[in-house]
Amino acid sequence: MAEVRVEEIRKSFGGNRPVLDGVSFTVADGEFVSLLGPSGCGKTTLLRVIAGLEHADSGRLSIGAREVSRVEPKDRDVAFVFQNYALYPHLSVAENVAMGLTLRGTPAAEVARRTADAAKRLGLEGLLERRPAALSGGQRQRVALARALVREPQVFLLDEPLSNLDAVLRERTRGELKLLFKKAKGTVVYVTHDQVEAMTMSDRVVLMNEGKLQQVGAPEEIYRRPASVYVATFLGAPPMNVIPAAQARACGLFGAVPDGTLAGVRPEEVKVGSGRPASVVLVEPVGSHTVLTLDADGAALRAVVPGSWAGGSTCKVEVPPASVHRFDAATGLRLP
Amino acid sequence: MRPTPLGRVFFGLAVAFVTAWSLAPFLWQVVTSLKPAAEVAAVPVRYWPSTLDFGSYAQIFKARPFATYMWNSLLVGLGTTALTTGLAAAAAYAFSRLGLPGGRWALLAILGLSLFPGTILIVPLKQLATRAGLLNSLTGLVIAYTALNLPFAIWVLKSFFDRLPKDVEEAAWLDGLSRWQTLWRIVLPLSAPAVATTAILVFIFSWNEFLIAQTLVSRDAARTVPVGIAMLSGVTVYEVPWGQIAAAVVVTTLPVVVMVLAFQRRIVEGLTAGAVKG
Repeated sequence: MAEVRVEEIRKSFGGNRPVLDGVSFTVADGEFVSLLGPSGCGKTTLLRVIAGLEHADSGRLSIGAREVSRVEPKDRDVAFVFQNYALYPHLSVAENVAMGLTLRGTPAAEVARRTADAAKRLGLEGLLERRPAALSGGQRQRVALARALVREPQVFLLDEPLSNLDAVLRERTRGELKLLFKKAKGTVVYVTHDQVEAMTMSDRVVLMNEGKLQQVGAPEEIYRRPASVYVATFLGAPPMNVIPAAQARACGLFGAVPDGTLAGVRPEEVKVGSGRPASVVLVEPVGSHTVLTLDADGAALRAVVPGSWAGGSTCKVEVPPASVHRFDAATGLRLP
Repeated sequence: MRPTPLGRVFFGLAVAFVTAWSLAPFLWQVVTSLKPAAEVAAVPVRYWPSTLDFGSYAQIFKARPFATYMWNSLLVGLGTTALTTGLAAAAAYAFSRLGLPGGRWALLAILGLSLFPGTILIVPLKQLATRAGLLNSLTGLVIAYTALNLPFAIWVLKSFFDRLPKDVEEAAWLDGLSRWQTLWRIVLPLSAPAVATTAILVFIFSWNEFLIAQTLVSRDAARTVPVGIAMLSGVTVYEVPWGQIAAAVVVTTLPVVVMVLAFQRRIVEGLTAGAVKG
């Protein structure tokens, strides 16, 4: 295993806007890092640059102690799990898994041992002779994972590996994946647009937008202390309430809010039941909790209350001072 | 949309008509080849032989070097098919994947070249073959046929490669395959239907080609089947050996029919199923 160091990577496909605009971060040895962002933010391109499937226009990329910008994909010692699995359709599951080992001249006995071991870890024992076409989506996904694991590479690169699974299977596989890579002590770079995956699985999250890093940090940290309005409103469901200064002052919930700043509060930290009056505009029951959309003297505010809502069309609302986030209105950056 | 009963009847009739239209000349050859000599050109026409007579078949193999013609045709056909498919696969893969500068223009130029009618090429081909010492040689035919078939083969294979999922190839590079190994071990197996189609069409072209074979080869021992058939003659100038010609046509057509039937499953089979989530 090894650390991955990404320094000032730039990449453009010829459009007006670069796909990657000077991205830098480091993934520590054995760390699980998610690249999170909306579609088109450059996260998959960045992963492909790390794999060597795309060349960066400029910047440095190191895996372990080695600078690999000019190294062929096969010599970077990375394994890639593709979004659509990219199995070899004309080969059996066993041949799919063993391909990378056989080509590297691994002795046949060891290939057999490691293939069997990977198959066992992923529950593929009965399927080794099948072709990919005879497998379900979940099974194909596990073959793709086995193909990566069996190589015991320096770095695992995963491109939205769960996005083609149905909701139930995705939920279950998420936990399995986390355990699997923890046991393998792998350095993992994991691309996803799903914030729940990023938050639950990663040691750290790299949040990207429009080819730039927005924030890098532990899931808890970027949730608790978002570095910008973008991060604050990207994470969380429903996202953070961000209120302009004038409205924030008018509703009186946020204390002193100077001009040129924004006030924010997470819906789950808005206290409903005491404080100032507000009208309930919309009630969205989710089951375990209910999302209320409130109007507090012109400030639109969403709040999460436990269970179902029986409070009628008005309520009292309060925002604890410790829960208020402040941002610069011009730059969108967090104010200390 | 479900076909109406009337539509289904019409469809059946159309299929029957086209089948009959295409098969009739060949069936007539089969019947002719089995007639005793006296009945072949009898007036009025006899549609069915009075007895089945295999004499025509015996004659083309005994009295004429027809087995040699077939062997020559087979060698030229296999040589042309192997050379064309191999070169076309490599070229098509390069055009499809390497993003060569000017690749588009090169492809259009290749297509343009294939638009020249074959007859224009006869004289220059003969001169080239003469200078290269490839007159009366099967190698000469293989080279000429390969050159004529390459444009078509490159285009067919390239358009098929374009539709293959790139992810599978990228997975192969990460697994450690070189470009050539990727072509050989991943792309070609996945392209089996296209490769088989190309190979069959090239083989049929070569098997049936007359004009170039007639021009480049005059030595009887190096003749291919189509020229051999054209050279069949009767005992006198005024006699055309229709029975033998018919027998020769049947014998020549059978290998092609067998081959197409054998490869048919391959052609239809969608081998890429299961490569990516479907």
